[in-house]
Amino acid sequence: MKQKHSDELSELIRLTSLFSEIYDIPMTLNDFADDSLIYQSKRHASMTGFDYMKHNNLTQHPYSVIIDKRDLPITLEINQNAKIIIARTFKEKPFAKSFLTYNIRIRQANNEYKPMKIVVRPVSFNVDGSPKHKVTMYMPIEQKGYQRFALYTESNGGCEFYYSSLRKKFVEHKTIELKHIEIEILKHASKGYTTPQIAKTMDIKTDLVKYYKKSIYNKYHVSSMSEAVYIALFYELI
Amino acid sequence: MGNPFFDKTLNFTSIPSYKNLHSSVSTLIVGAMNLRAAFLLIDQYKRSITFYSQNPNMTYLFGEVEEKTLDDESIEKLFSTDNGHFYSQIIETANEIFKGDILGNNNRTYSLSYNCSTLRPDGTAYMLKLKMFVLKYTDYSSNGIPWLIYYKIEETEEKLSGNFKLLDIIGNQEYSIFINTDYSHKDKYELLTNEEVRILQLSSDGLTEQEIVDRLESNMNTLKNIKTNLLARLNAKSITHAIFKVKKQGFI
Repeated sequence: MKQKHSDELSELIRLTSLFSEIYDIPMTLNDFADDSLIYQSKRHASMTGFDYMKHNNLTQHPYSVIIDKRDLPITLEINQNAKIIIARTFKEKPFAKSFLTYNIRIRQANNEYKPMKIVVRPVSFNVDGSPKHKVTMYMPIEQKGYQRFALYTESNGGCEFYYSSLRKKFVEHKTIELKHIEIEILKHASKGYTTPQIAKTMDIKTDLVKYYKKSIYNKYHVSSMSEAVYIALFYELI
Repeated sequence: MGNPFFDKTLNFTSIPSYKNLHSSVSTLIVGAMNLRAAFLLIDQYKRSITFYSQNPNMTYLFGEVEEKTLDDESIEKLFSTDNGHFYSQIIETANEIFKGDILGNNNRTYSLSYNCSTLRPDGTAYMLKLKMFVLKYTDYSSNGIPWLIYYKIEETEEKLSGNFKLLDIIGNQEYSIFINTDYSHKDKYELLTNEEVRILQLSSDGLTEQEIVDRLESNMNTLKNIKTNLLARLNAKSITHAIFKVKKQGFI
């Protein structure tokens, strides 16, 4: 690090590098407002193969370098949304415990993309109790479905929210649970039935099957039926 | 046997501020929750120990709890071996190291680790690796006293208890810490580099000096230099004496 930091910030950098070592995971320290990178741990640099410290004048968003192109738009959208919620939570309850998790594909040093769980947590606060810096942890966990984008806050007695790409906001778990008919469609799809075949066996119209399929895609943040079936199997829904 | 964590407590010159402490502790808990890790937090000022575990393999030590403030009895259970005196020496040395700035980098980014053998409820022995670092100093400057210490607890395959190590995170260097037990005029502890420990290890395997030189692709003069230096620092009369001393602390 070339530029000089305040005592508090260098303390945060010390803790981030130590946490990265102790937990054996890549970590970064970011500014909460504009996501700009303040510190990158050695493990993070060797995992992504990209040294942020050498690229001081980064014009793009810092996330765009390491996140898969397919995941980038939704990640930025969710990031914006989460920031507003976290800021609002802190108005209600200063220094509240909250963290955000993403399950997305991250570029590795060999240019391959690997699914990882990213945990973002505000760590330092302004005098008024609003977050100032955040720590990002990268964990090798494969988990998809509605839990792909989750937000945990301490307000309202400790709530978990999940992102709904249909409503473009964080919603409660109830709202994005699969309906009975959607599970039925998944069961048929897992046997290899096409849309007309599913419609015929379930005695409903083809358009209705198409409608529910889209709804499944939205709830699970996936782009194909095979991906959706994989997730449903993961959660033992079918 | 007393509580090994507080046998020699630090002298606090002022009362640390507990304001805003919640935030850094909950960052630790978030990390541990996602990685299913177990850890201890030791408050040197209040002399209290809190145990957090999301790891199912660790719950047999302290029961199924997310957070628990430990009493002396359960700490003794953790150190239920005959080697308790050695562990309290390690803690004492660790406090000493955390207080000073031994490596000369102002960030003080290093962690210490040691192995500790303990017993399961059914009586079988197993090895725990305890990795520690200072979560909070009383102030940000280099005069700060270590106040809140983090202990990562995990099971390890290693067989030797002790093996007290220091990891310099910024410089990415590892050292073994030899504790001077014979109350001589020497320093309380010595940092041994990995190369020095390797030489002792090869000598204990019965290799001659020439064989060691060949194995390490080194020079005879360098080796002799290192050996003389090492003997003086370990306060040992011969290489056999040095091996005996180092073996007792679990390095080889």
